[in-house]
Amino acid sequence: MTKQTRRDFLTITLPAAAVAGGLAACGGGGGGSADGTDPVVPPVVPPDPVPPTPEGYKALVAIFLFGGNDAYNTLVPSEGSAYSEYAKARLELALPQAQLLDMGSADNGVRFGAHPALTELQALYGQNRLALLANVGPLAAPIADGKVRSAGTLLPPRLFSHNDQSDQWQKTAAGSLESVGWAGRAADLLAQTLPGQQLPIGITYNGSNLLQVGRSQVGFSLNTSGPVEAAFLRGSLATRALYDQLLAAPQEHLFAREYASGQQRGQIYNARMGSALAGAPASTVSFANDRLGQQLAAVAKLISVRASLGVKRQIFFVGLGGFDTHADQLSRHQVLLRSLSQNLDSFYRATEAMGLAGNVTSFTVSDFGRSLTTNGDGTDHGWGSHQLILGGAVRGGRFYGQMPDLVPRGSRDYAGGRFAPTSAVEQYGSTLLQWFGIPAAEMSAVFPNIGRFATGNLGFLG
Amino acid sequence: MTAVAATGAKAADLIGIGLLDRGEAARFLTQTTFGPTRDEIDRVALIGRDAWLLEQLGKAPTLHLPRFQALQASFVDGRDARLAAWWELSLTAPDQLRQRVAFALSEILVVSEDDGQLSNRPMQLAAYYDLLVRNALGNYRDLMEEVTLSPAMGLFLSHLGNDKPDPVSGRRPDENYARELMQLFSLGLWQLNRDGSAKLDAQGEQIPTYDQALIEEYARVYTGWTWAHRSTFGRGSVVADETDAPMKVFADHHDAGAKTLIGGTVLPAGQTPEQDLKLALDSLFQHGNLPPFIARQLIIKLVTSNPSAAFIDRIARVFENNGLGVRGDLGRVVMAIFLDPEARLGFLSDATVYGKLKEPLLRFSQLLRALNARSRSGIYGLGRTQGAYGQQPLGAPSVFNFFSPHFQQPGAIRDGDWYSPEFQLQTETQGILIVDGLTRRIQLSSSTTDDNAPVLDLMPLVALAADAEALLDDLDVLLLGGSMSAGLRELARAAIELTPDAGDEASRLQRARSALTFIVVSPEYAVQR
Repeated sequence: MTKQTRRDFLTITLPAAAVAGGLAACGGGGGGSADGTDPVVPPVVPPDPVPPTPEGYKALVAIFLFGGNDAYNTLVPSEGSAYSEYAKARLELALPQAQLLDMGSADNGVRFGAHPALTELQALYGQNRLALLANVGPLAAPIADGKVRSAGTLLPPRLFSHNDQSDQWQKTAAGSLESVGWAGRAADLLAQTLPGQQLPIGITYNGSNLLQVGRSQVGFSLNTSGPVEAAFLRGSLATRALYDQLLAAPQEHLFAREYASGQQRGQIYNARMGSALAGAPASTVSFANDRLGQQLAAVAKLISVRASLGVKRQIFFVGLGGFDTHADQLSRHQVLLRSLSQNLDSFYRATEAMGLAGNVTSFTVSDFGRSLTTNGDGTDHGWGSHQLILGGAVRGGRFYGQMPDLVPRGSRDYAGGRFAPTSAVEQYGSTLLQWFGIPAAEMSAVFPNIGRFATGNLGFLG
Repeated sequence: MTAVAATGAKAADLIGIGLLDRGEAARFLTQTTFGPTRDEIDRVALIGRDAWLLEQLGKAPTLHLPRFQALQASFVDGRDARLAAWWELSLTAPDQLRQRVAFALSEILVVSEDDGQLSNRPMQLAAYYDLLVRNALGNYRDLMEEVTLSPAMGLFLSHLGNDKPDPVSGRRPDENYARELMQLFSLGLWQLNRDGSAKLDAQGEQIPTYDQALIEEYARVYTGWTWAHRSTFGRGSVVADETDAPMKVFADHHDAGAKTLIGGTVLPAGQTPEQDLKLALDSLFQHGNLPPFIARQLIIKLVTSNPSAAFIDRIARVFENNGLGVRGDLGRVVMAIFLDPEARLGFLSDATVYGKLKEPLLRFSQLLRALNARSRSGIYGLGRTQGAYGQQPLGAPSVFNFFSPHFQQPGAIRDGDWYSPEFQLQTETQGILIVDGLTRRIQLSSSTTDDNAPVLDLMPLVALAADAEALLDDLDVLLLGGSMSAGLRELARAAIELTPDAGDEASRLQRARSALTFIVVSPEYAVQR
């Protein structure tokens, strides 16, 4: 990271212009070279020749489980010595064997059951719509069994820290300081092929996030309750004209300029959404009236008006908080997983009702997994975790990736049952993006470290 | 310093000769309070910044818990009573400096009602806020200890009821508080020079401050503590039984084994829990990272998102030693921040980046204070601001606050490698909602049916509204620290003149509202300089 010195800073005078620069390219936050002397439109160079516009419609939906979902109580070894080992490590947090919802066997032959709150997801698994990816997480390079604490093993930096690990999930290339996410980089590549798209590729119903930030494309934040407009602008065209001039006026201060360009984008995209959503068909599917339900209902509604917005590729970001279960885990986790199961089920049925089940793939992401060992009524920050992938294009009904031996001090344990991942976030993301339309040959532009891992396609999408 | 010389007479104001320029007084109060008022601007202009700060340091703390308790009868939901107390005191308490610093601390040493444990405990949250208010200008070591033993923090970061390990079953102590106290409340993740820059190893890499093993050592320190009202060890509690008393310890649930702290200090086995706690907090308090870490955090919350290394270094030195050999004197640290040449002159030398985006609640509080907002009942019923402003006092989504100190807004800010923490809340849609909230308050009439809704007093503006220039001069000082650009003035004047002055109160009220609206929705108002 090359930080400008204060002396450099004092000599810089930014030309007061280019407020609308960020607006020209869908979702761009404005450009500017690293020395801050030349704020221009985002550095998107049209390729020659322009790639063909993709056929059909596809959407990815990232479901961020904030705080670090406890993967080891989401999917539990359900029989024999594997369950006994689990129960011994988990103490009073161990889920009763009889309550587990059968999910078949992982790659190592061990039978697993889902948390009893996940009834709808078990059914979707049985219908081959849901796939499970075992033990995925940030890696700087593959780690062999038994080598996690060996000298010379390359580890991701700042393991077990919430913000750092969730950043690494979103930007990958563990240790990279560049603040761009992999969905944003993918959107940068795809934006050139989508000239008619009236919204940015990234849409978030959970505020700003790193995942959707690219070099020129940035996730656009929307309200679940619908488009918004400041009331003072209604009624008086003269007032609106003056306000538009105010936002377009030159600003000496960089932050004022970026503030203004954000307000401009907000007005334009909210207005576009407003017109499109006015024609949205009524939904036949109901969602739970909770934060995740409201967000996924809004995603489904926006997808339903894709044609009037001319959108062909969308990456959505939604989130559910509260997974940092250091205490009172059994009751808190139950509530969270109920919401996840009910709302993912509703969302899948909503896409099915639109005839788009095979065009929409949802996937979970979290800060990290949690420790297998407990502190009594909770668990602490871990590393590898299991994730869920749902959709009509998913080759579901089975586990992907490698399940480690879930025993403290096992061959992949860093400490206290924090297991080193066997699949990298790069591999997870690359599999999703190949389906989404990023050619395998271009994947290293999205995931600089993808070549360090055995495969860029884990096989869970057709 | 040439930029200062070029401004001629204004330079005299900036270095404190004679009566202070009212615009500069307002700019100073934008940094040091919840927003300038006419009276406070006059006061600072009269006595100067140093004297005003010293006067503020001497003011007794105005506490939230008693106001919360008094307001409970007026609200069905205790959460609304706490928020009404917060708004009333943040807007009206005479110890504005202390209240403003307490708010900054509430975004560093975070607890949140968004957490299930605290959502139904407004009393604990009000008491926690008072802990910050009482120590805001005191010593950071005292603050660390009170925070550690606060039941609100104990619930939020789950060290309340944290039991000693059980080697037979393999149960470990909870690591939550041990980790976040180091990462977020004291040292940060990597080793720092005094100027806030990262120390680098021979390979040019940042050096971690601590590792997982060290967290596990500290986690054992914070064992055995729980509710003061419990007679046995455990976590359970009935809200009606609770007080805000500091947590008490059950020695037989404290891990009395030896522990190795940061820097290799060893706590010998068999110490009392209180001895362990004191020495563990001392080890963090004496660490070289603490002064630059807290200095940067306070500067970016109060003054500018991108302080120079020299600014951080000057403040870290005051943190290390207040001049009388005392480490951690927050009153002196805060004074040094506001009187620093960079805080006073940065806006002249760095007109393009110096300063910060105002966080949404401060954009709101500044408007309310400037126009002396009052409700008929006297209650400040401004409670649930999460939707409209994306922010609610003690309501962050996690211990990581509403925004990260390292957030970089995508686009020109990131590409210039500047930090812009508050932009994390300023999504495009939230930005529109904030503008909506501010302008609705301007439109709100004193005949509103809501007795608890504070209404702006627009009469001082109406008195000037026949003359657009006089109106804009007044608002320029009050809301923009005298920095209104020619472009904004022109557009705001055009907005005023959409309503011709008919010589009556109705037209003048409309002209005042138009002027006020165009200033608070302007990009200039959103940025504190």
